[in-house]
Amino acid sequence: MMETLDLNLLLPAGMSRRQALRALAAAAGAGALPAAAFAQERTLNYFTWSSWAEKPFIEQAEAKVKLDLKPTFYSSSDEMMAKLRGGGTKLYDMIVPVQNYVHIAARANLLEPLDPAKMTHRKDLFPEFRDDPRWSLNGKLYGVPFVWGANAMAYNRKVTGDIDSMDALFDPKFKGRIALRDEPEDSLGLAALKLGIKEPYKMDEKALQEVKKLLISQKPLLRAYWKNIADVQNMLASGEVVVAWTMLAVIEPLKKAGIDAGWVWPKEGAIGWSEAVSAVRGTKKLAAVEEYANFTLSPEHGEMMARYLGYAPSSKAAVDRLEPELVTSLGIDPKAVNRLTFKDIPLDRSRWNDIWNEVKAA
Amino acid sequence: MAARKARDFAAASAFLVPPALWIGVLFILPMATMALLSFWKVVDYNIVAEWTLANYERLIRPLYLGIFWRTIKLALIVTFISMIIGYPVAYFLARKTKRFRLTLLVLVILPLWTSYLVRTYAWMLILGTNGAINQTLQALGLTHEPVAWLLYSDFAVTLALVHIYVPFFILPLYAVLEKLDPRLLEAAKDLGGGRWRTFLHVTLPLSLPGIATGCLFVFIPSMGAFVTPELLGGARSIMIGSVVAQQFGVSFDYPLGSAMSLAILAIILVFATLFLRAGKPAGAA
Repeated sequence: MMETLDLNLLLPAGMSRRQALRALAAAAGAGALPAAAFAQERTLNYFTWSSWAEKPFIEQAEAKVKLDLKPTFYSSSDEMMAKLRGGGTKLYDMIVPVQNYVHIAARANLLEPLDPAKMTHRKDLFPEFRDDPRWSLNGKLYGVPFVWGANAMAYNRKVTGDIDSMDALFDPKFKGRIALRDEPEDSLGLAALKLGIKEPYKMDEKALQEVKKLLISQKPLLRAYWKNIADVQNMLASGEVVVAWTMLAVIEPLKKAGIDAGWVWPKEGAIGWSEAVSAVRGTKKLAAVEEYANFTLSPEHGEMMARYLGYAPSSKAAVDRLEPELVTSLGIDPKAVNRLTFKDIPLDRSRWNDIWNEVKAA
Repeated sequence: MAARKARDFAAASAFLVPPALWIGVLFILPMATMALLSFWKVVDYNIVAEWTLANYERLIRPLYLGIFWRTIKLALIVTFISMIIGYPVAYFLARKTKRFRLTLLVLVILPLWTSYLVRTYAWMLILGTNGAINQTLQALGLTHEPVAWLLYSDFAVTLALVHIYVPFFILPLYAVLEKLDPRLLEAAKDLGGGRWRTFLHVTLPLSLPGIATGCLFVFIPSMGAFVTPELLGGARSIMIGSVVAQQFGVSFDYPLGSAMSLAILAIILVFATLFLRAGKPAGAA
């Protein structure tokens, strides 16, 4: 295995995999190395968010690390969990979880730990992501985040002007044109930040009740709670909503649709997330998964991702490759990481769900 | 004789096994799993087989009782409106058309050919603040501000559910009305019954089974609806179907979700009994 890896790294750039295989087969003597088995070894079944399997990502993996990624998609963390539990561990080699699902998935025995020594690009990361405790459990490493971001506020600048505070989400001026996310961790979390609660995911019952009161008082101002990212994008695009708690992914499509869309991490704080490549329990291709996980931390992968999708790489070396204006316009100021509250598993999850349902039913 | 009996038995079994398997695997097994799950609990994202009534206790708290009540009310309203709209359509189709009957029937079924989701999204385009209705109203000068409550409201959810389920009311009723014995209507006429009297005393009572079936077909899916309220509902339009979906999704609480599903099933059984009892044709014991 290692030998073939080294051979791959030595291949001249621009050589296609097929050519490489042929050359390799010739070098090793025809028949000595079954080409099919080799290709099989370099093919990874990749269960992921659609963004990470867009063309440039697949092509880069093929060109730079000679890995053939076969993607299947999920559109929410629960879908990922449900499908892994429902037999997905036999189908997939790697996934891209969000940080608050790592401990859950590891405890549910769905993940295979990674060898830290293989993560050679780790040293180039911002310190916040190099040793993020959310990605380890009981001394075992389950991923090193290659990307991070925040759930925060999108707004229609033409209507709202520039915004820097969550107050806009509670402003009667925008009555009936505000949207929040239908998800307890996001919405109770942001309300806690608004109330100045330092560690939202460790809230006690008293704080939860205050958060509930705040969210119920906001309801007459709301247009809707959105469930799906496409829905909130539609609401903002059609003008149903002028300010919403959402994800960065809506901004580019809105701009393309001619909306003067603004994006801000309000001064009260924003909800952070990070994602990494993790190995699925029982994969037979752990070494290849580790190789790809490490590659996602490389400067070239980070740069491509930032330029193509506008997401923030965790790699300092990658951010250094970007023009300062681009870094600012993408809102990926790494110095701001400490302003984020990373999403965590609440202490009492079912209590959070009940509180959230109480808000919605009020 | 004995051989023949055995052969008959074998033949009967051959016919009975597939449906029995079908019902067993696709209906009884999942139901039993759910019933079992509803007495278990979740610890650390793992379902633990420890007996508990906690899920049912959570269910009868005011929060979830309130959501159940809201859902029943909305489902009944949807059923009622479907009846008001569906009855005349079915009546017209069954009794007043000849040449265009097939075409009209196809028109009733036609919406079912497009996905439920597409039809729900279509309502967004119609009802939105910049949607077809609001643009027309404003162009006609009837309103200056767009009417906001058209979309993301109980109104939108009710409208879409009626639109989606009304064919299920029309079709069974149509089947009953179409088979109505014309001699009974003639007899009513001969005996001096006017149009309305004939309708009220002959047609309507005879069509009760169709009405009951139609009501059931609309009420059951409305009770469980979750896509429509999530897409078209506003901040207050929570329905129990969404809460169940949430338990099997974000919340990862299969036991609570199972308990809720069984509760929905129980509610449906109660209403089904009521509908079917009310729908017994007049004169039948």
